[in-house]
Amino acid sequence: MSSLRGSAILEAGVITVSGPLLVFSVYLLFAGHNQPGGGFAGGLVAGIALLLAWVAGGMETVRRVVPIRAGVLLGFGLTLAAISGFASMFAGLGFLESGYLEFSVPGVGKVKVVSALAFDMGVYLVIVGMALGLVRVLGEDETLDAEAAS
Amino acid sequence: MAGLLVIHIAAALAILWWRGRVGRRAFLVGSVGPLAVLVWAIFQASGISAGTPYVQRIGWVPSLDLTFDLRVDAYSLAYLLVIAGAGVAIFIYAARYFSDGSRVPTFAATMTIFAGAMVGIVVSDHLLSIFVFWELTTITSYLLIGYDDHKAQARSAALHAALITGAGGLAMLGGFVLLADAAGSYLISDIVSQPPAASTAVTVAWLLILLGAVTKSAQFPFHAWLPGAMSAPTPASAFLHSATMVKAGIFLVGRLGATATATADWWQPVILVVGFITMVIGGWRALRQTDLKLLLAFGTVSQLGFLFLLIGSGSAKLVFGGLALLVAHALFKAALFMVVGTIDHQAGTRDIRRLSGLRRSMPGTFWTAVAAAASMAAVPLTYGFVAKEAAFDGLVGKETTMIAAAAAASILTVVYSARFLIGAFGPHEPGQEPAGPEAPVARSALLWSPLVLAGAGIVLGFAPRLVLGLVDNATVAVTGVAAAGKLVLWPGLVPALGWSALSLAVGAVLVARPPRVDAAVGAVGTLADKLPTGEGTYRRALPALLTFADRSSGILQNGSLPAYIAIIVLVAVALPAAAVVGDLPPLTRPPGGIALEWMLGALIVGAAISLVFVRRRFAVVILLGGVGYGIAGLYAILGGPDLSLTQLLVETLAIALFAFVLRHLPGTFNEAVTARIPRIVVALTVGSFVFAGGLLANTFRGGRAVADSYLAQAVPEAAGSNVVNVILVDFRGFDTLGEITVLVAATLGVAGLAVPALRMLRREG
Amino acid sequence: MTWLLPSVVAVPVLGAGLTVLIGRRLRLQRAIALSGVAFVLVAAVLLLIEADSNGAAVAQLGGWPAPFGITLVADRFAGIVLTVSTAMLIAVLVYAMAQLGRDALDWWFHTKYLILTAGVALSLVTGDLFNLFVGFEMMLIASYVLLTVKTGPGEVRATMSYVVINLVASALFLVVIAFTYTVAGTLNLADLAVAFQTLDPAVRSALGLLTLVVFGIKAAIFPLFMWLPDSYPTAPTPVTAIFAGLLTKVGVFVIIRTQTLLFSQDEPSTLLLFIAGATMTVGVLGAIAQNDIKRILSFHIVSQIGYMVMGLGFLTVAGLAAAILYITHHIVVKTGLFLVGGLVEAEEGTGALDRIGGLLHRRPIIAVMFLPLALSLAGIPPFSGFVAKLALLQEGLALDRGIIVAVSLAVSLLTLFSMTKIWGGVFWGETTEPSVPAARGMTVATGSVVALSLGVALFAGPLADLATRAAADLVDPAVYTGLVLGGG
Repeated sequence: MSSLRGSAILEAGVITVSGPLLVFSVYLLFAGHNQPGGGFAGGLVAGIALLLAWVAGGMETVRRVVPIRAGVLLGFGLTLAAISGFASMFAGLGFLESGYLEFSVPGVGKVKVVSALAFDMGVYLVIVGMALGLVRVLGEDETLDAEAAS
Repeated sequence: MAGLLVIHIAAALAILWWRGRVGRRAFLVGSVGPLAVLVWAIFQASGISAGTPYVQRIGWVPSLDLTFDLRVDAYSLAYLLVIAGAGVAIFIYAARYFSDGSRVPTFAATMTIFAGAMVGIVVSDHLLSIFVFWELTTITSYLLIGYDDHKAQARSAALHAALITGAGGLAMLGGFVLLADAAGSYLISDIVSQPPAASTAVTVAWLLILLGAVTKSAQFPFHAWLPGAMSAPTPASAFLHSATMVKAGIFLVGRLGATATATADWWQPVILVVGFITMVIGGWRALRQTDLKLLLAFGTVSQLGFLFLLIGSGSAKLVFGGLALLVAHALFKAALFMVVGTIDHQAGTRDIRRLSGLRRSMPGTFWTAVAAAASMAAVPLTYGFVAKEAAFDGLVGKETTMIAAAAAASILTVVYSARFLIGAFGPHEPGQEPAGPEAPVARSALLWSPLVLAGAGIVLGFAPRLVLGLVDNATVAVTGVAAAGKLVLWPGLVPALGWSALSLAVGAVLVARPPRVDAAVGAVGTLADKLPTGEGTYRRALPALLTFADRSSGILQNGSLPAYIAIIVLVAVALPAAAVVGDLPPLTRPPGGIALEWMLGALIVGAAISLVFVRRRFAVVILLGGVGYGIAGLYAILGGPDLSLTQLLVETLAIALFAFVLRHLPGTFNEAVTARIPRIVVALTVGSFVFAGGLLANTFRGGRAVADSYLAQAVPEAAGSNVVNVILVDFRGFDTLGEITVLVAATLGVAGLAVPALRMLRREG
Repeated sequence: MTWLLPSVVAVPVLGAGLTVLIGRRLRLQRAIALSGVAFVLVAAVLLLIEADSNGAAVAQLGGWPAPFGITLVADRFAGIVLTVSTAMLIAVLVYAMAQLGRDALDWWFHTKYLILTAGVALSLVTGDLFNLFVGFEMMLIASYVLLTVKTGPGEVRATMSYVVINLVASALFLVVIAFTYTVAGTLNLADLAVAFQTLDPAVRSALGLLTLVVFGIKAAIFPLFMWLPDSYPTAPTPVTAIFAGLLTKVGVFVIIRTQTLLFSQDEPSTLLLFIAGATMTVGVLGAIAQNDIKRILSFHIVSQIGYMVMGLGFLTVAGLAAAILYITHHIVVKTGLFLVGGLVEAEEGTGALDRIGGLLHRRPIIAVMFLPLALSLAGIPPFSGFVAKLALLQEGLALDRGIIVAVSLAVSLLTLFSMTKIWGGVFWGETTEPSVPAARGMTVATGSVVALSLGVALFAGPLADLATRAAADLVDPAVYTGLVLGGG
């Protein structure tokens, strides 16, 4: 894999692709309630973006794209998903019971926000965290390669 | 009454609590238990003897009929007095016998618990509470026998005792439940007053209960554990293995004997035969021992046989004689054990061949032994004689063979009693290194405890009236009739006296000619050794069991993962298949798909089949990806773009990750696959099973599905038009919460597993 | 109460999230883990009280009525098992903290432990077949990663067989789910119970048997048990203890749940009784062939499962009550025995019987803790195992099932034998060289488990009554369906 490295064109190309992929993944997350997508699919797209970033530039690049530790993403995602379950109870609903708010944003029109979105964001974060964690393992592998070579 | 049991437990706990400081005084603390019982029994004696039993109930698990029902009648009282009397004497003796040591308090506490459990057995009216205390005595006995735990012999003797009595106990439990089932009550008083009708279940119950009693009381063919149990320190042997625990079985058959005789006509003959064989074998083997303690142990076996047949017979006259003898036995046998303990303590050996000159150096102990042995041999003017007369009196009128057998055993008793005295106090054998006491016995419990018991054996001979009421009432309590038996110093010229005289005379003759006796014993003994015994069976059975266990688990547990998987999946196929085979309805063919579906199906199947044949790892990854993408395609066709998308992404990520991992592995699978054909058969079987199962399930497809309601409700109720996502985050959001938790754990696991593994791989080159 | 039920799962999940979020702060992680599991224990007790007074605590998640959403149900049976299980989870957590405190620490131990807790809780309270799958996955993934807490090539290899067998089981579970959904159109257990009443009996019993196999793998019944004694003994003690105490019992719980609710029969199942007898026998034979504490104890897990299946096999109120009582007693005793085994290993550096000896004289406290647990396992009175075995015995004889009763008594004797083997090997014998005393926390945790097992024996009366009420609910599926679906 490391033979692919060092190609500036490739790196530039991959970074060009992975940026929009990340944006697309966030779109999938928000669109999920009504169109294909959702936190799960969104997270996976982001994961592929991270993998590409790693192929292109190694851990350095990955860190530039997502400057957060995998553990934080995993932990925050899981915490968020669990809390969103409890949150609906404070609104007088059952555990994980979904409610939605409808309000109009000037210039955009009517926007419907579903409380399940918070839950879905948790899912998204966990998937991204997982991808990041796996890439980190590969990174570890690479460091060892480097050590062996020197 | 329950308070008395609590006192035992409290005393044991107190000993354990202060185990660092209490030393051998622990036994004095422990003696509080038996002492309390003794005092209680003496105070209650008159009321109970008058026919009013003391009754108490303590609940435990009422829904299982598991309660502690205590009932002390005259029969229990007799045992209580024996247990408590011997207990007090032995505990006080033990406080002198041991020297202070870190392990003594634990021993004392265990013995105190045992004393409590023993009391529990004889005061229980409830079958299950008898069992509870019964097993407690088994366990405490195990711990006490193994006191010298660094000796392998002690450990195996403890195990032997525990396994034999434990097995008997469990059988007995089964018998108890069966009996209670038939009788409608667990209370012995109920069962005795309204015996169950004879049936197969009741017969089995009696057999199982008998098994429990026979093992506990060391009856043939299960007697071998008792001599082994002599590895225990002498106070424990005196208390458990002569005076009390081994009488538990006798207690039980005595309690139930009359009822059993009434419902099973084989009971009495079996009891008699078992008792007689035990009696003769025990007496015979006692003659051949050179260890004083083992000599006494076999003597105990013999005496237990006699007590067993008398008390278990259910016939009033025999029970009367048996109970009289029970008291005698406790007195002289406990005294003799303590004498052996004292000899061992002072001289450092119990070997008849070496002991020498003890008569002069230990006169008090000598005379104690003489008194006790005389009582054991039933020499006139002792209580042993009085009791044995009563027993003979009961046997007279039964079959002559029985009396003859009893007389034979009595002759043996006379001979081994003499052997005991001569061996212990006579000169050592030529050629053996003599051993004598290094220091005289001070006037201590080592002297007094046995002396008191042996002395009682003489005093009661002159005043048998002291026990007559006790024995008489006890007999009535279990047989319902008065035996009209006599306990007198001089019975008059009755047949029983003739049998006693004959036994003594023949015994005396044999004692007078020791060389010939020894020769005869030796000759017959060699012959007898060739006969199968319970002991031999046990010694062979245990290793055989271990070998069998080893082999069988070696076969089942062969460590082969493919074999485990094959067994699991074949069972998963066979059991359901067996249920439907035979009445399979014609299977409905599912609706045919469009051409694209067939193509994707072919792709999936083709990729899966090729997987088996490729040997390059990377090709395997690609083919697996093919299966996954094919399925993603099927999702798309069947109207699940979300699923399809997710599946695609997962496959892509997986292939990419595989690709990285494969760098560390050889390009092809090198290991030769063994047992190819069986593997193919298993795989095809499972595959066809799932396929056929799918068709079958489809045939029985129900008319409704919650999926329909999801489609109907997603937009109006859950405010989302992507049903799949609504299911994921709303209808079944809880599943998703669980799944992302799984992913978190998996990531942590991979990180934890892969990083060190990679480092290790690297290090290995 | 509707919030309490989901929180037995959600709170440990939340805790798991927090422990990852805060990163490597040991004290905080410990605090979160302890309070998370403690919360579940309190909740479990409250749910049990609620269940015993109202029949069950039921929560329809997301506000969707059954069968559309996921239903959680804590009836008496689930309440009992959940309470005992979480009590053990706390004790073992304390033990683990004391032990791992001295070893090189695995940073995510607490996270994994909380996930395991959530998985166990979910598997017990879920009222939905697919959600049960999720609960199992949580439990399994946590157990995979816990098995490798201390990674060496040996552990990884032993874990392999555990992982692979469980993957096979999971795959078969999915097959069951697919078939079930096809024929019934629902996965809600109560709804399924209703739907299955009209299903073709042959198909229903085939599905029942397939289900039995799937959960039988988890429960390690004959002939599906072989993975267990191979994989358990190599793991660190706290992990093995909790696996031994809980995981197979969750399998038994689910077998009992599904066989009574979905595939109920009117008369004793000879097949189940055969499985029970075979499981006891092969387990105990394996145990007496071993010479290592943990290996002996691992085989006994298998053997003891047989007794629980025996109670189920009777398919009567008394039989099921006995099984419930057995599960309750066994969870405590088995966990305790493994903790004692771990203490021995921690102090002696080995669990091999021939390399240890005389521990009774050096560390009497360990001997004192071992004795009641071992005797209880063998069913010796007055300890808890006796009460449970007596209940089985009485029901077996009342139903005229003499053979299985005889087998169970014989296995009891062999169990006692193998316990004396440990006693004779470890606590008796030539005293081996002095050892390092184990951390105090480990001893305290073990002691509290022993105390609890004595408590089970002491309060066996009320417990047996409770188990009988729980069993009465199980025997009549209409109770469960009525509680979940309303009406009845």
